[in-house]
Amino acid sequence: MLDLNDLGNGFHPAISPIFGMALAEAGGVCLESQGHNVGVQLHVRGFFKSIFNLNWPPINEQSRRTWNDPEVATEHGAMGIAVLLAKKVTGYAVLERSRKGTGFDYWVGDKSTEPFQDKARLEISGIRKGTESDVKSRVRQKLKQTTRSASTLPAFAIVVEFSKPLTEVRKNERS
Amino acid sequence: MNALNDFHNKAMEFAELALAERAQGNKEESISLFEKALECELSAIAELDKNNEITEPTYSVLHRSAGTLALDCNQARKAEQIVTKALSKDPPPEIAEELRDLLEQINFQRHLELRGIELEENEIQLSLSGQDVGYGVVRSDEFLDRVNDSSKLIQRIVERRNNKPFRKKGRPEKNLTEPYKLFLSTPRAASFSVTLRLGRPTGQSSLPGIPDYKTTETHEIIDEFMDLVELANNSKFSEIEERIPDPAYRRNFLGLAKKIAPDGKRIRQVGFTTTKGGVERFVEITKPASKLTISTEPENVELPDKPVRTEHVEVRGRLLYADSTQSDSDTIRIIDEENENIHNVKVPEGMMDDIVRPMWNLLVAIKGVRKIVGNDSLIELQDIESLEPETD
Repeated sequence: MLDLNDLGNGFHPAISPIFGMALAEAGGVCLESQGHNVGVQLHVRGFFKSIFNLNWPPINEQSRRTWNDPEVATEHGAMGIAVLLAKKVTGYAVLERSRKGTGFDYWVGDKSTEPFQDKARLEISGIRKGTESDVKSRVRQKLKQTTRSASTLPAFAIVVEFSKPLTEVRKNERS
Repeated sequence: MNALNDFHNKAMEFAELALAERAQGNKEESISLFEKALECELSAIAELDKNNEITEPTYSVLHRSAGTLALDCNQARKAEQIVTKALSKDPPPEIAEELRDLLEQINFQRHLELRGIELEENEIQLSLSGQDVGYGVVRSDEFLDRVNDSSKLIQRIVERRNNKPFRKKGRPEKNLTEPYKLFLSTPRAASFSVTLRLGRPTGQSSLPGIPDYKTTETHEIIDEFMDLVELANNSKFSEIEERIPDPAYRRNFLGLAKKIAPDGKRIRQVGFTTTKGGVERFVEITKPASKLTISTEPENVELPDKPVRTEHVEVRGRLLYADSTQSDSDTIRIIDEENENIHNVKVPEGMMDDIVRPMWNLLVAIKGVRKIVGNDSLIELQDIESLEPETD
């Protein structure tokens, strides 16, 4: 079971309970917009293969209006699922994040003295409704962003597609 | 080092709250929280600076974060100082690239500011930046098309505010839109900026036989233009629906906003600046056109009394056919050049003249709902964009 409500339990070092519940709500809005009900199976493929039943907080009209911007909702919903999956898939929790562009840049790893030191970057992307090839090409695009040079930082890419729903997890080669 | 972590974590907590306020449309609260986040992030950097060695990627990531926060609270100069400081060191290549992207954004925000140019309340500054924009030069079609579409958008606002039914074809009524005609200033070397000036209605009565229209203050038209562009960039569809209840006008607005929006490469940012009561207002379109949906509601098409199957489709092909001499002049054809399939597409009211017609003969991608009755099928258009490759 992957329960998005867990994002609000305060156990995630870099996610406050308030923000965690906002991500969970965004995830629920995206999943219900695709006709899914609580309990739907999320297929995970790539670096890690598994199937999880999904649970999320109740969604009402107010939630839908809050997450009215489809792009922002998809981005935040994907973040919620990826943060939960990262722990299960990589064994690392999301420990750090920093402000970047329209959202946050996430980093996974073990605790160390300085932020972002000896950690892997977590590239997250969401697709509300796409094909298998859309998911593959988004994963390629995300990994390409993380392999610009020989001294590239280690990175995981997690792409969440909400209509199936499906998640692909990949790790860049140099990590 | 604990102090560094504490300051950074506090900064991210404030940033979370600021983003939540921004999502709710509470600008002032959001900016005040971003200011607190910036203060904490700068304190984290000060802790790091106490060590005489630079630890990467910590150093550059913290600076990129602080630079973004400074931009979030409209402190462009502060953002510039923070980002250039990190770039002057030796950041990992991918973070360096992100710092350069941020610097480009900072420069654009600086160009949105008027810097000595005095705008009247009947003026809008249009600014563009991106690959096709040099210092004071721009690829002409990128610029002219956006001026033209901004002008159409203003004309439609004037017509709608005067309760005119949506004009499907022809020029706007002279007596109505002439007073708000758009004039251009000499372009300025910033990213690339130009002033669009709207005429001011004189309030004089028309000649006998020509209808008098309610005079709308020019600044009201400009305020509405800025409000609507901001709502489109934030995908606030329900608020756009409240402002523009007529679906034809609404589709037309969303279609024009999509055309004005940046493509993300040749033009990366499009911004508008106005002044009212001495206060500057900036609206940026940061979303690329491909992510702005026209999101039209399919209309009911009259079809024979037979079982109808519907499916969502995406079709790519050349827009070759639209015959305005026929009674069904709201139907176009898309020819798929790979398999020569012909798709009949119904264009909903509000999109033909300003959105679809300028794309004739171009390769386009459309989204819509295909209705199939027996051997006949018709796609109801929901979204369209040009796929025409770059010419250079």
